[in-house]
Amino acid sequence: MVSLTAPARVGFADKHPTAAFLLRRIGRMIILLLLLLVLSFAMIHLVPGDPVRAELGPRAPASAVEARKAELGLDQPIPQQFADYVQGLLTGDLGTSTTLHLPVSEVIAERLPNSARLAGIAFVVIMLLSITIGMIAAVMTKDGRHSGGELAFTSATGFFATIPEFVLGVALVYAFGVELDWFPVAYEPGVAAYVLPVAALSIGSIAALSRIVRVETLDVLGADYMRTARSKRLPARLTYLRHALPNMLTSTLTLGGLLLSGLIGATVLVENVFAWPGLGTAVVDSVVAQDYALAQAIMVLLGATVLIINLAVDLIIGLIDPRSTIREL
Amino acid sequence: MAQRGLVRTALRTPTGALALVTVVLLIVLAIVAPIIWGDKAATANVDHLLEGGSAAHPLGTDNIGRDLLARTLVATRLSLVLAVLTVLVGAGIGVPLGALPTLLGRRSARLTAAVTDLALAYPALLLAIFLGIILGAGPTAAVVALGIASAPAFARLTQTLAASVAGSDYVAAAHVLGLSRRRVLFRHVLPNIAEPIILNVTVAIGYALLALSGLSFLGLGVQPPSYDWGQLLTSSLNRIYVVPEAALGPCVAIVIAGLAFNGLGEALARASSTRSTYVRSPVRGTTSAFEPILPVADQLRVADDPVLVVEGLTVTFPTADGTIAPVRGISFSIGNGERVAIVGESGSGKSLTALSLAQLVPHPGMVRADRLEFLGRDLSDGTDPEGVVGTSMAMVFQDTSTSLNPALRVGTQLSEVAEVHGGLRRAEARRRAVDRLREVRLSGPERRLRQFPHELSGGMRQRVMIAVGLMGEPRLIVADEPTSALDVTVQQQILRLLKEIGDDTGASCLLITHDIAVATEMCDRILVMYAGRIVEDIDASRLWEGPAHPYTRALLAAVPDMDTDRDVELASIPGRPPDPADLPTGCAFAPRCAFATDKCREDRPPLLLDKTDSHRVACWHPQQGSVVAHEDDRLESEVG
Amino acid sequence: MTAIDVERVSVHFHARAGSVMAVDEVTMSVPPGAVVGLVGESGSGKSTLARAIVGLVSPTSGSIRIDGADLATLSAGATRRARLPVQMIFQDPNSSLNPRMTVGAALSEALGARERVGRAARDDEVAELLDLVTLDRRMATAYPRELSGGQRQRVAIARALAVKPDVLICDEVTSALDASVTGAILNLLRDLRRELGLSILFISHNLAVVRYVSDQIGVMYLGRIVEFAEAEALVRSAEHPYTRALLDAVPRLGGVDVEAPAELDRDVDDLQPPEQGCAFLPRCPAGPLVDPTREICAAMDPQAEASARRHEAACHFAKAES
Repeated sequence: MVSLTAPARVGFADKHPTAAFLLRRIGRMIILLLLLLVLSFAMIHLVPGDPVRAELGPRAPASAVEARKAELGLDQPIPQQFADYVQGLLTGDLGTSTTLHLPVSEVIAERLPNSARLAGIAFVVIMLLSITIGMIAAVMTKDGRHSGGELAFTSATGFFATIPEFVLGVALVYAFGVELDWFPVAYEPGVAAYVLPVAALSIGSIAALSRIVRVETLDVLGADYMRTARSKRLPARLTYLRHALPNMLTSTLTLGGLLLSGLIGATVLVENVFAWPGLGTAVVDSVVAQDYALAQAIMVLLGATVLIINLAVDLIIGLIDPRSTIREL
Repeated sequence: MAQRGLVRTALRTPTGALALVTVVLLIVLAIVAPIIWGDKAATANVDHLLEGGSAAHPLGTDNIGRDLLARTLVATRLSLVLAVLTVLVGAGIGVPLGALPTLLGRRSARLTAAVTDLALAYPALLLAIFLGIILGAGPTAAVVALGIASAPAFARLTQTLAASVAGSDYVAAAHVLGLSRRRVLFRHVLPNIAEPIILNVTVAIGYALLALSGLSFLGLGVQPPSYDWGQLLTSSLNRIYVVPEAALGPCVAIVIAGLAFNGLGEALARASSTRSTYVRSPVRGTTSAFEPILPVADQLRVADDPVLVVEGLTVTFPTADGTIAPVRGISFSIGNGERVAIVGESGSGKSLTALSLAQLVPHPGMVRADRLEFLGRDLSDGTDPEGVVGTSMAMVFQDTSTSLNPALRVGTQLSEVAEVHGGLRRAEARRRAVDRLREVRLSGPERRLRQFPHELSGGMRQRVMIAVGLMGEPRLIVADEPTSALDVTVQQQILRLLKEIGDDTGASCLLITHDIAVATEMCDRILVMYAGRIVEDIDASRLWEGPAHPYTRALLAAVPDMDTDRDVELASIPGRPPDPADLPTGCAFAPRCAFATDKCREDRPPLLLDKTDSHRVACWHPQQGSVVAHEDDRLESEVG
Repeated sequence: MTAIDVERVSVHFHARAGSVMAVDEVTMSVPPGAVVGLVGESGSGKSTLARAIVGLVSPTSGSIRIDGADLATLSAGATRRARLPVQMIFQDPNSSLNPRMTVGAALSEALGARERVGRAARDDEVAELLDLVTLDRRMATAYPRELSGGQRQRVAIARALAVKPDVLICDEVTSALDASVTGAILNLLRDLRRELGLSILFISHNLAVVRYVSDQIGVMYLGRIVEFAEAEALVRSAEHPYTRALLDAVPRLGGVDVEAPAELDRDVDDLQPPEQGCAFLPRCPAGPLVDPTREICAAMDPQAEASARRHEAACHFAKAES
């Protein structure tokens, strides 16, 4: 049954669709960001047991525990703690790591570039290769041509897409660390150290994404408007670049956004395989060692990164796709 | 049960069978491995610490001497159980969430969207870390975290499925019948969404397995002394330089399990999609093989100054059961300035005929013709060296919403024709585009150049398509059902427009339509197609006096027009149009024809000219007399 | 015998792009035993009106009376009982049948909606229903995907007939079918009407088909009924400019190109009826766009009450011409 609501007046959203769209998206991100902050703040308080006592040990005297609590501000009422927490985030005071005995901000500042470089390089490699491979595969297998090639492509990509990054990393460590000695299997300054971790991060995603790109490209190539373009007898370059490519843009951007968000999780795994001095190893170590300040800070950072990336992709797609503002709910 | 048929279909492909067998094996292993090898997996053996592969221990031993092969096999149970639990959590949250909007209405759709976006915003790993901190690192946190992270996908899938099913007419009919909501849900909605969800569950188990082993690898999943594949992998990683085979077991196990579940899911998905579509499979066993193109004794009277001459045009498609020929050796010509219509029902081959003229038949279709001349140029080999088709043949397609490129502005789609073929500069091309838009009576032509197709109505888009065709100097306009998707008042305007353009430019027109009345209003001559053949070629004005072919006559009698006698029953043609894969020998219409004889069933009648030399019929028993039963006159048809 | 009375019914949708008045103060009735045709183009609201009558859509205002009983005053159970004699057949043969139920199962389920019928008796009744729509009895075991479009429509009709309705609402039931099959379905409907004494509300955009089957015809435009008359009277002497344009636009077999009244090319971007004045104004050859003195069309919305007793046209300048 379709339910009806009261008739609506023509409002702001109808008169200024773009502005309304921007406001809606940014507003949503702010809400999610706030939620992230609340959750990460709550994390400490939800941990069963007493984190301070866990830090100082069971034999520390109660007075030392109290003193430490006051030092950390844990004796204040909760809203005050939250305010202090947010203020700390904004000013860059993220507390001190209990395992590394350094300010958290310093730890992050040292490790962030390593992770960012790794994820960044992998992202570029994945996007370039999967789009290229996917499109070439589409053009070659269009209309059922090269059905043998299509089978090979689907099988190969299916295989590599299923291998998790850390398994691939382990296999690469074995292949190049034990058997061949072409690339370093642990972090060292220089470009060569990036090769294997990037490979571990990329291969699976390239396989998965190129499949999707191929299907998307085939959909576009088989569309009625491509038939119209062919009926105009336009040169091939114009047909593909002007008619096909723009219709691929939205789906490619969406893929890119999803990829970037997914890379965050994958990078953590791969860093742990290659003992990479980045945020990935730091966050896992800190959780295991109950170094909550560090874990919390990294979580907020990673979470905020994902939100901002999603927002950027949404905004770009919304602004360049002529139909998206109409589809907007 | 429907599910059994699904599995059986999936088993037909080699990958599907392999995947299913592997999954079954894994399940069996999960059940029996701990029973058979449990002890061996737990037995510490201080004499054989950290060994490499050997006969007794093919994968070596771990740090307290336990056999790693046994441990890998035994770990199957925990790995699988946790994966299944994860998916149960995810589907348990996601499916009801996705079903909410259909059950509760529009408002809850927003709530569902908000919750799913929330969950999607945080990567599964972060969620796992978060829960790991609160609940302590372990399988509970991992399962809950991954479950929550997979819920949005299930929610979105369920929502889409439920919405499409709920909007379908059979659910509406159930409501109108007054069936209870419960009955509608369980009998109509759920069975139709269950299959895709089951498919996704299978694939999801695969992904959950991989993700869980990743978490265990990091130390956030299964904790020692429990062990799953991920946990085994992490404990053997630091020995990989010395004893690589220790890591081999878990790696291979993870990959095989992932492949098996994903492969099974994909095979089931493929099997499901072939079963749920309304495609009638051709009847096997009866003459489905390719009908050879017999030399057809079709006669053809070529007009004096022909724009198009076609002889023996055949379009074939290879299929799994052999080659089918939706267009079988047709011959016709179009004179200068002449307007010709091809009338036929679905499956008659009329659209493919139009496409083959413009060399747009989709792969793997093949076009063959004894003669195919457009403006005197030979196009029969499929090439167009002088590019006449691009400059002199204009195509107008049926679906206006998909024939124009949604990502490009109207102006671009118009001016590029002039830029490429006419060599015009951008500004000149745009001026011509405005001119053409004015010719097709589109209001505000300059403004339209900057608009996108979706901003225009269907009728306006069709005018744009015609304008695109006019950007060159067309000698032939081929319009394939140009108005079938439009309102009748808009249809009238578009047809009038086409007529005027023909009058103004002297271009000929080939109109493809299923509506014989449209054909008579618009065109001078009508070609009636049935089962890939032209069965009649008649002047539109003669239609009133009576067509000769029984199919044409039956078509006229079957469709009411504004003057049909309301007291007389409409004629209808028994049976249905033949499947191109299943054509009878002889005349294709014979099974449904009131006048068919044995000769009709054995010999295919050629298209022959009659005494007047302008009317062609393909029939052994052509009829005479008017057909249309009007209130003013009632004439019986006589056997010819 | 059941009559349907629709009084000042409006249906208002709130969609993404804004609000849409799909049906705007429509008053009409389907007398017992009559065939009423409803014709209009896209956006005319005819399908929405039909769905409002059977309860798939709730009217925003106005009342619907079935057999004299105002549905708004009834309880849920009573409404269901009151609605049962009014059944609907849909346009798309591809989605009107549950792909996972056999024909027999679907018909059996429909039979169960009417009263408690035992298993054995149901099989017999299913066979009878198939006979009624001239389908082979063996089709009871077939799935929809094995049937043609025409056959599926017959099954849909049989399903509607299972509850012994008094009124059949046919929503574009032949629009998706080939010409050779259309005649058979229309003949079937005529036969059923004769044999079972059904009333039919026949909705279509195809004026020729509507004229052929209907006793009375209502013409809808942007949610309103703009003209209502006996079928022959409408065709011979239409009064509303839109009806005249519609009649003129229908292709004729004779190939006779009827001289059209000065038809303004329609290029309206959006189909929303205006705040005041006549909705047909932007396209009307009898209105102020052609004759500027006719300002009343912009100021006052002409209303008409669709009734079989007289030939009504909602126009300030309606004229009858044969």
